[in-house]
Amino acid sequence: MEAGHRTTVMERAHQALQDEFLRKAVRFTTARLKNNKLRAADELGRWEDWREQGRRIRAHTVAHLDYYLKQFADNVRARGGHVHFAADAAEASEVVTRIVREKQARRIVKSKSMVSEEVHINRHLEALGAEVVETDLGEYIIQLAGEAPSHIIAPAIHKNREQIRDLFTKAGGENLGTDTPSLAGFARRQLREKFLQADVGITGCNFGIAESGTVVLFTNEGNGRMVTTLPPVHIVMMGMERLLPTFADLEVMANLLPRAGTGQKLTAYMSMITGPRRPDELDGPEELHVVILDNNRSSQLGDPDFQEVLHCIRCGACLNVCPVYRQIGGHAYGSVYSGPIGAVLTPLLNQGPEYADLPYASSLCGACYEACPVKIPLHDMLVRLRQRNVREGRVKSAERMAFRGFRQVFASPGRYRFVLRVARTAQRPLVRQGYIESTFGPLFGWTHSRHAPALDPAPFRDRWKRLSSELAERAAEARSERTAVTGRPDDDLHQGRASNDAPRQDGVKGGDERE
Amino acid sequence: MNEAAFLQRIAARLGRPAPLCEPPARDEVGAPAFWRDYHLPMEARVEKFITELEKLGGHARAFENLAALRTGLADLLAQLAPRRIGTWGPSWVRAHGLEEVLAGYEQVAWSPEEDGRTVIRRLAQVDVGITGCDFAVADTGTIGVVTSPEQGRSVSLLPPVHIALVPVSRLHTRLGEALAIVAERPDAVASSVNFITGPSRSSDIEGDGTVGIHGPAAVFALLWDDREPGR
Ligand code: SF4
Repeated sequence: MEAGHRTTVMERAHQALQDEFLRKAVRFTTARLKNNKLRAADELGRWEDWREQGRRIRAHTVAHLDYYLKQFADNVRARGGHVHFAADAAEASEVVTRIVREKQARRIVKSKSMVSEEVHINRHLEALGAEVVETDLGEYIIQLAGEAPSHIIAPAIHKNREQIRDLFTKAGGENLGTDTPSLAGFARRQLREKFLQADVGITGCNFGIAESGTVVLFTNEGNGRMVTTLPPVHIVMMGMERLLPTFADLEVMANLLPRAGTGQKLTAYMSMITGPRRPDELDGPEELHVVILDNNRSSQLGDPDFQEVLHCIRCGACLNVCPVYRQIGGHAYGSVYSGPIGAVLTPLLNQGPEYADLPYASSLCGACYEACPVKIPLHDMLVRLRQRNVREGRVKSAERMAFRGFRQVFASPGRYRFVLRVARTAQRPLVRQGYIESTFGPLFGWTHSRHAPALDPAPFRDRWKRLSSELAERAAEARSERTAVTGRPDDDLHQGRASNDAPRQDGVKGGDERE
Repeated sequence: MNEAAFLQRIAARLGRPAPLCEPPARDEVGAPAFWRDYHLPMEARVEKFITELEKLGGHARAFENLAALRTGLADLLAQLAPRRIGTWGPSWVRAHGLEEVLAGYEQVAWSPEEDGRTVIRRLAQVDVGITGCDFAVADTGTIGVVTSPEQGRSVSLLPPVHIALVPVSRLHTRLGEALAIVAERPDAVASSVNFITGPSRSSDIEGDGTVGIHGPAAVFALLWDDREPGR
């Protein structure tokens, strides 16, 4: 979404809610990913111990980022790679475009990289006249459609197979069926040639290993391997926090990341790249560049409220459990990062009014925290961001709408009863001090706020029905997920209402009290 | 931005006058202790490896010795009936005595003597890639391959079928054991180390799973017991 004609998150959510397929697809996929994750975590056992270990490792690394970043950079260089430090998106794209220009590269293949999306590198490279091809199947699809990813792990979650067939036909596919093998086969053939012809490959980086200068990529399709094997130049674009001190720490992340993201024990490929190809090796890049991006990440360091956002390992688990994300999909967030992590990270990386409304696209139910493999208290951060907005006198229309909606619910006895009725069907496992009210409060406000006059009442009622079933589903999930639930009936609901606008001081927090 | 300023900003935000240059103390490194104790005896390890790989749609078989493996490989190739086969370098093929098994097929051997672009182009046309395995992981059914002049990255990547020959002496229980071997010389890690867990996968079309989108669609692991002396 471009600056200049920005819409509010409410407007975008509104738009997304009109799109039936999007909503179904997002809910289907996120449910699948989430259930796979629960199964995988269960199978591994002692998930809470793993999470705690993951949290500790990330906390230690981020708290000593100056040391590990220097160590990592020195080791990349010692193995023959080049390291570039970029303070912001503009610097990062300048570095990359300079390399591409120097190499006179015309064909560029990319493997999925959120940082490259963050700096809009494709646009800059295309401006040079280079062809940039996304090679992750989902990214390839949305690139053909000219859209942005709608999920960290499943970027084309919102496209159906007919749409994909049409996009592939436009890209030169003849007589394509809509079955998965025909579509995948077409993409494979197209992209295989692109890999073989490419002058430059661009990847992200899941983890940089400081002790060796190694870049680690977790992928399933093998495009990450292609991009790091075939083109003569490899450019890695990474956020500066994406480090781990040692290979031993990687074992923990290898156990957490794929399970949390997709429920896999391990992705099909875990590729570890250390420097460019060595003498006498026939494949792999002759040149390796690592671009390390700050872009306001460092502003979170030393901030007790937000430093932990840098612990994120971009697994997408928080998206899959978020009732708001599951209703509106990724595009409604209007930024590269969506879901709960996006609602926190985006306004932190882009200070100012532009994304200040994102923290309201959340129900503060705490499901994101519980899903997070490194225990980032996202819901606490969302509250703090809202407080920050209030402090800075930045109360945008979206916020006013959200709060107005919330107040309307409770100001009108009829609506309040309705709330209670919905709540009754959904609440039992959710009711706990400070839990249910935050599920219903802002979410109700938020759903209410899209009850704009322009909508005819029938679809609104339909959406209500779905929202209720979503909440019921959440309840059922909570029943199975939660081990320690204090089931208390309706009175908590009432009690909690008052505390809704206030920061939450209760149990669902990032501290140790959970275990 | 220059590196010093970049790091200085981080240090300042973290409340330090200058970037830290001594390794920070750590209380605990790596996997939780209970996980580090996870160790399967060889027989169970082989079984676990096979089970895990097959869960992912891969195929695995264990042989008593290298001679039996060669027979098994010959059978497998007869079934697959590839037109062309790619392998790691000639000395690796010799060391495993595969010349005879491969004799009937058109071959592309990964050899540092050749021109890289040409070998890759030829390798992109083969049906089956055969490689060794530097470490395997039972817990996840994973095959680890390390790049070297004779061990090209492309051999396990470009062909639609990948066959890995896995000596059980290199089969570990956990991923961490393999990573520990890589970490023994952190200043000398190979240019590329790939851990391969089953066939290439994607679910980007309506969440419908499909294999072989970029990497191999089929992965076979043939294990053999290389521990007994005097063979
Ligand atoms: S915040 Fe946690 S759950 Fe969300 S993407 Fe990051 S690591 Fe995953």
